[in-house]
Amino acid sequence: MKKAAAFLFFVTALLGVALAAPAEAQEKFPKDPVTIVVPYAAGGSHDLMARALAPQMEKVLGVPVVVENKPGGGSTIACNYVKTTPPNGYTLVTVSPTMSIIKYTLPDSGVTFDQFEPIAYVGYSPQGVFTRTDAPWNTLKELLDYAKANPGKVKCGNAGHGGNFHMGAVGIEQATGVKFTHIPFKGAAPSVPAVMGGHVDIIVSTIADTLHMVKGGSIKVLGLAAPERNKFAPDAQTFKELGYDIEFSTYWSYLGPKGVPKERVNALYEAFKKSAESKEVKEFFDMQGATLSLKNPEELKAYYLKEDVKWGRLIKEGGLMP
Amino acid sequence: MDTLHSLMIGLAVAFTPTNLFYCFIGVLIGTLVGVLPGIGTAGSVAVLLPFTFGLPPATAIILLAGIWYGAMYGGSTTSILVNIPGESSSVVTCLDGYQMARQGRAGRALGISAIGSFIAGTVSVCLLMLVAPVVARYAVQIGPPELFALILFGLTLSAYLSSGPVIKSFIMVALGMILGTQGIDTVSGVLRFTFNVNEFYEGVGILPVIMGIYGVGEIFINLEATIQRDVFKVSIKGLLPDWNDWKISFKPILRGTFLGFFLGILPASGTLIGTFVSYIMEKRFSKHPERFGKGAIEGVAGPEAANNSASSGTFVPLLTFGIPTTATMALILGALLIHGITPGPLLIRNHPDVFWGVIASMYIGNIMLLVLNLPLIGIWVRLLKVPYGILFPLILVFCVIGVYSNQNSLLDVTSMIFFGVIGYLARKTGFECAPLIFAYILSPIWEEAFRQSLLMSQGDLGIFLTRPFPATFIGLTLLFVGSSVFFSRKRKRFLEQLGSADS
Repeated sequence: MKKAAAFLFFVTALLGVALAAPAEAQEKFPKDPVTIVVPYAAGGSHDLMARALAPQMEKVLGVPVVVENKPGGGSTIACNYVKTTPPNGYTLVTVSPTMSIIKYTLPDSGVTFDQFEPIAYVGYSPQGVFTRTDAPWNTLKELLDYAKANPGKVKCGNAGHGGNFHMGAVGIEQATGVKFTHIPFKGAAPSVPAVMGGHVDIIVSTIADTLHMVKGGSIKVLGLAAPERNKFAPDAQTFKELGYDIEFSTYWSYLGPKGVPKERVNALYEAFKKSAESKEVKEFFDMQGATLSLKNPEELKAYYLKEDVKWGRLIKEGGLMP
Repeated sequence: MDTLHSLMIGLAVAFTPTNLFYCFIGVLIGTLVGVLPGIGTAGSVAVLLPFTFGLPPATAIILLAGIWYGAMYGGSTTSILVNIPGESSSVVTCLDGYQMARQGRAGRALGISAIGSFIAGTVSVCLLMLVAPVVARYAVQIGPPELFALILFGLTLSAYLSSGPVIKSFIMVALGMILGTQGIDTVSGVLRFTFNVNEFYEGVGILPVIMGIYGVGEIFINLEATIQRDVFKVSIKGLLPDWNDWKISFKPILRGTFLGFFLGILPASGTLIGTFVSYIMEKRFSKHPERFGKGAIEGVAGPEAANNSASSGTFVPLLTFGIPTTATMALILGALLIHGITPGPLLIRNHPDVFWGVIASMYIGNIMLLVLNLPLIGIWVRLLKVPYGILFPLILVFCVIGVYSNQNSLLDVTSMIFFGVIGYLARKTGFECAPLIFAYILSPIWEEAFRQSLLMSQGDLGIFLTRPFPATFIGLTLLFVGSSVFFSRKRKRFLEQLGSADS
């Protein structure tokens, strides 16, 4: 009797294990908190975007969404960290075009976009050229005409050598044939007082980084490297209108380490999509000067391949490889 | 009169029960953030930010601003009690504050820093209210060449940060400058001293350095000689500063207030540099510079006033131009934008309730902080009676948590321990670390400003002499160096004469 009971217990236990195994493989996702690692200091546009999305994503996913800052090293520190986390969809990183640039400018860091699983792209903001309000130029054309006539004379501030804005300025030079004197600052913020005080003539930045300063009357926007005019700065000419087909932006995309299971990638993308389209986040986009535009994982992957070619060529032609 | 009228509107906003409540919560969190070493304001504000989306705009900013200036009150507590800066802007407070504690005058040090902070906080809010737009116009005139000359002048004064031989403090300055070059170079993109470690791409970071040198280094020293702890047991009578302390400290507090405020406005300056400059200034102009580093109360009062008023100063570029100069200001900017408020010249006109409400709440918040902090002094001082065997593991735990939480990096913790050993060795060999930290903060800005200036002038060094501001400061630097050589010779000769007269 005892033996039989023991046997029965053994069989049920085995059965239990056997039944539980496939259930575990397809366990509910997510059941633990999801972390979004931000490669920049708190307060930057990628940090604020993640913090605006997090509460909405919590509603969709039903688990806490934590924003963690790991700033520095041209975003390589955060990327290297996320790259080595288990690919279970619980740790994501938010990146800008810097992701495609560091492969060429900081090869020793060992970060390339193909080490990551594309998950979602929620929006962008075009790069442009900004100057002080009493500058002699009022349109992009006036600036370019002056810069062509005076090579090297226009001092152009950026947010650090080899960064997104520096590369944007180099891209403008390559497309239009002008020559700037590049003056790098540590981050986007310190370049603004420099342009206001006339220490540099122009800065390259994005609408999202400067919209409030343009609205507040501290600086003005001359032109944007975008295919069409921007709704937040409708008066700003585009390079395309002048015949230069260039497009530089900052964008908000989210990646996981390579190998996140397909269904988890999709679940996360749906969460990003729903959150980005929520009323609260849409309002946030408007405040930030960001344009809502979604790319699903496949589209994002294709986009990254295109970006890689674009930046690779620009950086090699510009002689900016280390 | 107009300002007074506006301020009344602001007070009406700030005095609503909700806003009073959130103001109190803000300054309370701020005090805690300040007291806990390593836990920074930016991290705490970031965590609270999503919560403020649901609050009315004025209330949200009142709460977040409270954390920012509240932390400046709390930061001095651990500096004075256990020689660990609670905020990086309280490093200088360690120099004399901790010495005061060792002499049984911890209560007075804490008291003068609370009262000094209160005066600085209140006066600087007045300055913010009255002169912000005018000053901000001039502040943008400070470009790279001006910054270079200003820092050059500052660095020549760094010898005043130590009481030992000048040569030793210059060695520490040199070390600090080398340390400051670590990471990706902003101007050329080149990697320097990164040793193939990705996390060094940004340099070690200020927090592990100061927490290591002051906090951990101090623990090592104390573990070696437990007997010295007896000095702490001197009675705690005289909890608050007496009339004499007050008389010595009043002018340093005022000077620190103005200095901190104006340096706080400059881009890249933050709240830290003003504290160093205030200390240097007090020591330079003191009739008894030899007291500094040995528990001079004005060495606590001046810098603590400076960091508080600098916290108001950092609001100037934010509110007038929308330029955030620190991470916390960037978050407050984010909070403003989320509520549809554009900082800038039009802020006061378009959103008077927010602008004046926040200003008024800062007056109230400063009073709350004083009321909150003065009774706490008794409790803090009693903490020193805890046996060191129990206290030091706790301090170490807080240091590790604080440093780790800042960027979730284990390398930061390792770096902190490394700098703890450096701090220990420096104390053993008679080197003082304040000049190192001063140089470590300033040299990256200095180097950047120098190279930006040369890019601006296409390599012409004349840019430093043709602009009036840099030329003035370079002149002052030469004058200062020249005069110290001259006076030291004269003094030597005087002493020699004295010696020969004696014999």
